[in-house]
Amino acid sequence: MIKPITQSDLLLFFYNEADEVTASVIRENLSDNQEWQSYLLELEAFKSETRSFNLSPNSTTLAIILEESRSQLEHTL
Amino acid sequence: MNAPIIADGVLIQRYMQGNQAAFETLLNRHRNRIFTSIYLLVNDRYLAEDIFQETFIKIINNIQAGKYNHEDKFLPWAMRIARNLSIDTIRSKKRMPVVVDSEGRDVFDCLGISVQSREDEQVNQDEISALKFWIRELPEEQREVLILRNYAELSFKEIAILTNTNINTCIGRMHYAILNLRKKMQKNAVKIK
Repeated sequence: MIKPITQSDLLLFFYNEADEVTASVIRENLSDNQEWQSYLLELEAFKSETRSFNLSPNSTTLAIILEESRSQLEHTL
Repeated sequence: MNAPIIADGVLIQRYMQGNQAAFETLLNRHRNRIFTSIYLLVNDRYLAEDIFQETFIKIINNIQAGKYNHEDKFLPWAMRIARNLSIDTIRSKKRMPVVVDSEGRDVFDCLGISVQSREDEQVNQDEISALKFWIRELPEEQREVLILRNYAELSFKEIAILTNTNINTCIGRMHYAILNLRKKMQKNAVKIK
């Protein structure tokens, strides 16, 4: 009997966190399952839309951190 | 051929042995996801800079005091520190009185002191603002899982440990966060490229 696949399983599969049995059931049956395909496509679209938002700390903040790491090192060694 | 990626745990060991470059590699590897996550949690660029700095100073102190014992679980450990500092900051900010003008507006808003960053300005304002707005609008628990999974890139298992819940709760929250966010974006015809 095929393991029933839930949306939670698909979510874990999408993020590469599904267990091996679940992942192989999804992989083997994905091409025949329109519902799974559209859910995974939805997740992919969501991920690419939201991941465009990516900020970096400013250079002053980074310089302070690096200075602190250097000074701690000198202090410890 | 690409050079093999040195594991976080190895970089930490090297830093403890006096290799400053190892620490710089570690910082550069994780800075954006940790900073973006902090920013989305506190929703204020200046606070995010402070919390990010404080997070890494705690990280340095802990490493140099020999208190790091998480092997290659650096990111969940760093995110725990960042999340706790963010929560403390949000709590203390809530206790701070807001200074308003005669019309009840926050004076700092009127002075034009905003959370917008130079980076923000370079990207399409509408897209970024809309995304930030919809993330901010999510229920707190959904927003947190979304930020930790999508931006900090923690696994659901790591998020469950960090937020003191179970993995199924985290998956459920993520599912609803995605559903809500997509619905809001589509309803308002916001297309974020």
